[in-house]
Parts: sequence; structure tokens; C-alpha cells
Amino acid sequence: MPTDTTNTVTSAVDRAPAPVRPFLRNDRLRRAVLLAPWALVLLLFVFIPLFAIVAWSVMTQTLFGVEYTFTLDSYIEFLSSYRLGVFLSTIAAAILQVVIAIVFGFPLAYYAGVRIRGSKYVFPLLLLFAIPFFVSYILRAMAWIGFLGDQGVFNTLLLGLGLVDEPIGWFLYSHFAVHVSLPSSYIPFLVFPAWLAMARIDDETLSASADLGATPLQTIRHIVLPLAMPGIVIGAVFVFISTLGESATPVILGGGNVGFVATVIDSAVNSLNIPLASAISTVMLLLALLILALWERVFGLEIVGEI
Amino acid sequence: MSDTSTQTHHRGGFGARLAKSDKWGDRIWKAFVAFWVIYILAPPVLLVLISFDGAAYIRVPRSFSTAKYEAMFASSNLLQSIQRTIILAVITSIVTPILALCAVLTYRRSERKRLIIAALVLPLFLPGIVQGISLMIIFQQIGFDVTLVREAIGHVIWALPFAFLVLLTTMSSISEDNLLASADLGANEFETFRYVIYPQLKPGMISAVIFSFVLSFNEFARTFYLQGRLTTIPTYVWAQIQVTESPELFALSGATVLFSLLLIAIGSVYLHQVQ
Repeated sequence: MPTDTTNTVTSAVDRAPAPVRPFLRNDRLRRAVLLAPWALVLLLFVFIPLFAIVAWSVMTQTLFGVEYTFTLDSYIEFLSSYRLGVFLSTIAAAILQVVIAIVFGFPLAYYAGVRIRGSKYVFPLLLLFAIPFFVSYILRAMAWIGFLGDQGVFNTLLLGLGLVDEPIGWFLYSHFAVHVSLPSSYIPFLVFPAWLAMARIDDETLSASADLGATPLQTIRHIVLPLAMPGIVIGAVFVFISTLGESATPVILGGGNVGFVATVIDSAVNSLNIPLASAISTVMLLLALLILALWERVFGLEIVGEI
Repeated sequence: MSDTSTQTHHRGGFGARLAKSDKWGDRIWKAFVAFWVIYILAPPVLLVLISFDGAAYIRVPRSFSTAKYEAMFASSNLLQSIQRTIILAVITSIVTPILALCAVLTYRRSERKRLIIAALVLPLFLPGIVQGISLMIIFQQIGFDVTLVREAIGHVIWALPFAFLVLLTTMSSISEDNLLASADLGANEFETFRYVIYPQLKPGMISAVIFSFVLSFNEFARTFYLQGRLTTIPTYVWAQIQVTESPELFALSGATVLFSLLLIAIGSVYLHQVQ
């Protein structure tokens, strides 16, 4: 019997093209060849650089470069200057964007995923929401100048209607401009995962809820919301992280009036203060790890694969 | 087929019941969705209109002119950055799906699934500037200055999590029974991959290629720190917009938007045929 099994295995392997055969005979070799490419890329270009940043953040900046002595000076420099304020206001801006994305993105996802489910309009609608993914966000930010500028759409409209005598200046180069433009980029980040989660809810479950006399609002509260929660949360995380890392929009639409943390990191890099740039980046890295750990704790990481 | 039709009927039933419940509610819903579609669509559309406007500055478009496009084709720096962007996007859309495929095949047989997912999705949770700066400093330290490779590395690690997630989702729809059946019928691992896994993974691979291309095409934060003298489209726009709102920028923007919309159109026609 054992010889028989061996024979089948050998003949199955022999059918494979010659270069592939060694990988079929040797499980470990095959696994190594599948593991090496992506694991090496991640190790060399993601994890080692991040580890290096943590290391640089506790080194000393000298005239000639970075000196290898342990110090927390860069963190103190970060925490005791205007930079902390910019960091906190960036977090506040990110939270505001998350709130906007949830308040408006959830109903949009509900509309596509539940209300008109099965209709032929779902796919075209989602395609329209995918457009921001295909247009560089620098260009999208630039487009808003065309809406908010002195000669832009809104001011032209207001002047034409005689509602104002001169163009409204604070439309552009302000917090207002930044926060009005960001949802047009980030709402889809929430709509897509939330829609995906809602699309997975069975028709039967929704019908059953309605048959039992639940109003649409009760169905949302007790069925749609709990089942779509992982999708909503990952969408919220995407919006949060993207706003936190915003570097171009605050400059293009905020003029000199809006500071985001990316601008602060960038100016540290430009003044060749590598430890300071590393310290702020390390804080961002810790924030990312914290979010990842919370995710693992609440939903489990495997659920990411289902999104 | 009969299965699909019952489902459609069922779905229609549920939707219809909601729609009948109140006509006004339906109108409010449509207005709400239309508002957000316009909100999201208006900026790219305005860019296209401005690119054909006669004025050299940003205003509500009033006249038609191709002057901006002429300026675009006269600027050799700009044309170089377009070329660079396309080269990088092609490299990224070839390398990334292959890495993601290896990762998904490793994941399938691994006992450390959580670790693999955590490692692969971490870049999604990091602002691009952090990754860009960390890579830049490392490359400076070891004196590696082949900028095309530096940028390509930055783009690949950015696109990899997306390509991995797309393939993982596709993979999860392949049933284990299918694979067991293949093994029971005497197929070796290669044949199982070639004839059972790969055909089902193919739509995922195609989306991974498209995703990687688009992500690379629009990448800014990492490219900005890894590039040398040559710029890509996003970093070119960034450098120019600091100086002046030069006309060719709007031609470039309009052209990019039109190109992206074309890609979407091709993609959706293709998807329609697959379905």
C-alpha cells in the first residue's frame, strides 16, 4: 500500500514542467520561494526603515549629522513647541473629517447597499464614487480653487445674484477651504467598505426584519448597523489616517494659514533635523500600531480579509 | 440562471416595499445622493473645463481655447514627468501583483495568518510621509541614489497592501472543497494552482494590476522624498503650483482626469462583459 501512494505522488509530480518539479517534491523549498519575495520587500523597505526612524529619534543632532548617543531631546523639542499644537489640531481635523464621513457616508452606503440593492443603478453609482481614487488629490485640491477663489464658481454666483458686493475672501486659503474640499476626497473611503459590509447582509435577514414589523430605522439600528460596523470602522480609519498625513491640500487651499503635521515633519527634514523628523514620525507610527492593536482586539485581524 | 432570477425577484420585492412606503422619502434620498455625487464629481469636471478655458488664471470657464494644451506639449520638463509617471506605474503594476500573489499563497498554507495580515496592512495605517521619510533617510545612509528604483520601491510598498487585500478577498471565495477535490483527483500542487486556483484568482489579479497602476500613477508623499531631479505628474504639479499657476498645469490636470475617466470606462465595460 505505501509503495502505491508513493507511485501516484511521483507520477503526479512528473506531469509538472521540469523547472517546477523540485518545488513540488520539497514543501519547505516551495514555501520559502513563495515567502521570500514579499517578506524581503517588507523587511528591507518597510520594517527596517521604520525601526531606523525609531532609532534616529533618540539620537543627537550635531552640526555634522547624527550622533549615536541616547537622548529624548527630540521628543522634548516636539512636545514643548508650537509643533505639538499643530499635531493636536491635525488630529482634531482628522476627527472632524471622520465625523463628516460617517454622518454622510453611512447613508450613502445604506442607499447603495440596502435601499436600492439589486437595482441596476448600484454599479454606476459606486463607479461615480470611485472617481476620486483615480484623480490625484493634488489635482482635486487645485480644482477647489476654481470653486472657492475670488473668480471662482461660488463667488461669481453670489456676485451675479447680487447677494454680496465683493468676492468673499475667506472662502479660499482658510480652514474652511481645507475642510470643504477634504470630504470630496475621503467620503468614498468610508462608502466603499461600509457598502461592502452591507451588501453581504442576506436579503432574508432584511425581509424578516420588515416582516416582523420593524420600521426601516429599527432595521438600521438592530441589523444593518451592527453587521456593517467593521466596514464603517475600517473606512473611518482610512479617513483618519489619510487626513492625518495630508501634506498638499493644507498648503494649496490653506495658504499659509493652515498647518498640518506633515508640514512640520517636512520642515524638520528641510532643516536637516533628522532626529526631530524621526521623533514626530515615531509618534505617528505608534498611533498606527495602536489602531492596529485596537482593531485586532475588537474585530480580529482576519476580518480585514473579508473587506 | 433560475437561481439568479429568484434572487432578483426577491431583491426587487424588498426594494419595492421600501419605495412604496413613502414617495417623499424617496425624493429626499435621491436629492441627498445626487448632492454627494455632484460634490465628488464637480472638482474633476471643473478641472477639465478650466483646461479648455481661455484665461491663464483660474476662473469660471467662459471661452474655449487649447492654449493650455499647447503650452503643455511645449514644456519638455512636463512631458518628461508624464513619461516618468507611466514608467513607474507600469513597473508597479507588474511587480506588485506578483508579490501579492506570493503573499496570498503563503497566507493560504500558513499557521501565522494574523501575523501575515498585520505585516502586510501596516503601511495602510501609516501616513505616506512617514514611509517616504524613513526610506529616504535609509537610502541616504547607504548612499543608494538610483532614483527610479527608489521611487519604484516606494510605490510597490504602497500598492502591496491593496493588491494583497484584493487577492485575499478573491481567494476567500475559492472553497477548500474545490482544492481538496483537485488533490483527491490526483492533481499535484502546481496543477491545482494552474487549473483550479489561478482561473478563479484571475479577476482578482486583474483588479490588483489596475489598483497598482492607479495608486502608483497618483502617488505623491513617498515619491516626493525619493525622487531625484526628475519629477512625476503629482510632484511636478506640486513644485509648479508653489511658484505660479502656470497654464500647462491645468492642461495636465484636465488630461489626467480625462485619462482616468477613460480607464474607468474601459474597466467597467470589461467588468460588464465578465459578468
